[in-house]
Amino acid sequence: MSKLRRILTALLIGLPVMALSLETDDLLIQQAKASRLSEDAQWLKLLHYEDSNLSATARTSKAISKEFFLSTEGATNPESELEATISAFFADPEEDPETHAQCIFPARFLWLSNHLNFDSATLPTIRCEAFQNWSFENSTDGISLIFATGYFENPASYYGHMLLKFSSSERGTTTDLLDTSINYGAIIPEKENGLVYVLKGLIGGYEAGYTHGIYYERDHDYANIELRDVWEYSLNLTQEEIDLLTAHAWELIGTKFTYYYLRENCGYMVAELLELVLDKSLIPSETPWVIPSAILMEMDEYEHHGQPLMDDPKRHISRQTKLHEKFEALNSDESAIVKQVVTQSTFKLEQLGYATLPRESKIKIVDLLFDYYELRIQRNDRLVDKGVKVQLLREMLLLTNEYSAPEWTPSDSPPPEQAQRAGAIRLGVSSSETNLNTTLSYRATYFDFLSPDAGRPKYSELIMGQFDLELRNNRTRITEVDLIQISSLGLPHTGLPEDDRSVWRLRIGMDQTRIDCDECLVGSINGAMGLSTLYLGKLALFGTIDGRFQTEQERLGHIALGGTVGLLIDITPDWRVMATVQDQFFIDTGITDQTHITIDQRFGSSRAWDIRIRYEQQDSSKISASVGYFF
Amino acid sequence: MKLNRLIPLSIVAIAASFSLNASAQTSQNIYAECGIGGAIFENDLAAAISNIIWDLGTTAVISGVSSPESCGGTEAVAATFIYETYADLSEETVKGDGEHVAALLDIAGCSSMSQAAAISAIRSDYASEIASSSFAEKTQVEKAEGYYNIFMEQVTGDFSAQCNMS
Repeated sequence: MSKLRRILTALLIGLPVMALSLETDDLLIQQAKASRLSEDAQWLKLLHYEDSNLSATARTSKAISKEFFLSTEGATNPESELEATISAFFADPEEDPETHAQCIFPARFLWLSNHLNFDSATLPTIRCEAFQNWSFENSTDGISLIFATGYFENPASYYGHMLLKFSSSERGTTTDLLDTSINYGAIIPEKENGLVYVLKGLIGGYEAGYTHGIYYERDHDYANIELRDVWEYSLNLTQEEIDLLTAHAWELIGTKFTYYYLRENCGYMVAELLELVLDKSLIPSETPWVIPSAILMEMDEYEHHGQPLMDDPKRHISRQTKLHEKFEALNSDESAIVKQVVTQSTFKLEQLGYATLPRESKIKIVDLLFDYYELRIQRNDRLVDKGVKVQLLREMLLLTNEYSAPEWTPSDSPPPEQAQRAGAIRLGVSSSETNLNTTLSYRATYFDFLSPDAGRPKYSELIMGQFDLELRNNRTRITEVDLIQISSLGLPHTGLPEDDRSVWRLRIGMDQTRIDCDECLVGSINGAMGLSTLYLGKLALFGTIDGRFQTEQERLGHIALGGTVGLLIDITPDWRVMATVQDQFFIDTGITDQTHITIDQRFGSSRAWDIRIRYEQQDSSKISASVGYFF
Repeated sequence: MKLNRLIPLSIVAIAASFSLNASAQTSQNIYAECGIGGAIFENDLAAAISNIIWDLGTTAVISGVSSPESCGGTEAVAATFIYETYADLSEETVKGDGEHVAALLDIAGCSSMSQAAAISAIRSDYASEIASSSFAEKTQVEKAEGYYNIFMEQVTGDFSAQCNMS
């Protein structure tokens, strides 16, 4: 056959194929248009479009990476993006298959192939090695929600954190430490200035994105470095839903969004990712802000295919929680020996009655000391502590030569979805020596010392945006404003050296300088530091040295130093009492303020409501009672 | 239209490493070659300082460790795991049981039936390792290297048939 004939023959065979390919693309695009596929809710969720405030039909994607879109108009035009996506799926593969659209957007490919009739004869077959490896060779069959409790050492983590974990039972692994985690967070430059960090986080000054890793990295960070407890919830999803979510998570890795601390944060974005396969939104509509625990509570109440979306949680405790729980579990002989061991100048176990203990007690002590010394090493990295740790490892080898050490089981603890909701409205009455008043209080977030403990740092409070009003003599007055009030009693702790966390408190807001006054509201900044102890595991006692600056003297002064002593106790699970006695001295005027006594009680431990009674005494005395509703 | 998607090397490394049947390259100096302990320590330290102050848990940390292609395999994953979880690993090893030791043997592709015996063998070797009077003064990297060598000797030696590391 002549060369020209061969060419013509190839063209004659090839042209119809090419035409068919083009026709297939166009045909599919026509089919998509006819069925208005670009307006399908799932397509819009895949591209993270949100409604425009300016038009009922205009859309803008929250994704800001150009690489996320195949059409130049993709960020604002779902139809254009869908057409470009279909065309890209039929494009000839490049030298590197990983750059093909089928490999970069497997969720779009999966979704479109379920909604359109892709012709396998004309669709390029691409082996997406990277995605195959990442999804455990397409065998991902489990997705869990991971919730890490709030972390008071870092303002960005006050409200806790959420991420997702992907697993495969076919891998045959014996633990979940090797599962894949997907995390959403802001991209912060190293050594960012604190004030800049806060401001930019609030106004959308940072980009954010999804990253992935091996789950053990997250587990290690939370358990050993940040010392946060973690709750894990398996999600009840169908295999098709898991496949789509897995593929979409792959699409999102490296895609950038704008980070807003108050709303489009980790909780919001995890919820939005899961909403791809859900019928209803997980994002509460009652408030303009979103906190992770609110998402968790929505998920707790969500029914999916007739069953709860989340299974009961597994609790993974931090090394610090382990230390405290193990210490609580020691008997008096064991705890006495631990206290002696850690306070001696040279570490020697045998010297102090340890030798006569039964083997089980020795194992408990050494296991506890593992945690205690490892925490010391994390904090101070001292060679002497590392030396002790090695001696403990050798001792445990001897103790377990023919026996196995029992595994520590965390104690029961109410999970975070059982906590009271973050927002609160209170309605009540107050009676002072001269008046009977109506009171109203609003709190934006989050919890206070009287709130039941559930998945939150115990013996602590975090209040933002609280306003207290009083209706008296036909006038409505503000009696207190808390822009922020954050406190920790540093409990529980073992009392062992370097495990005696201090009490601290910061409050910025407005308050009255006297109980019974019409016009004595001042702006103030208050701080405190001190010590605490826990008696019989129930009664918290604390004392602090306080500092205060107030904007108006109000016959007192501007700058005060003082002290507070107090207690906190659960008399029953539904009855908590907190009492404080405070004195302060204004150093700029030499005036000593009157002693201020408060006794607060909370009755009830429902998620939705409680009853509180307060007694207060200073210039006069006042009793108030209120009912609170949490939302 | 050519689509250029930059996938960070670390992601490829992690992705590749999670095929438990990947062929491994042996290396006596994996910590030095792959910058584990050096690069990771630097990232951990810098990241830990900024993260503890500001944003650990909420921040997307884009891993930028650059390493030779030989560092994308199962050995590098195991070496990194040992370095980062050394405290938990050492405690579980002396006790003879624990999820981190089990995870390490999973990385090596060891069958679940063989793990108890493998842990016992590693424990025995580790006992000799920590008996040395100078052990406490070793750096974190040196301790991790020592553990890694013990682990590799077992999973590529007596337990090579039950594991998939060689």
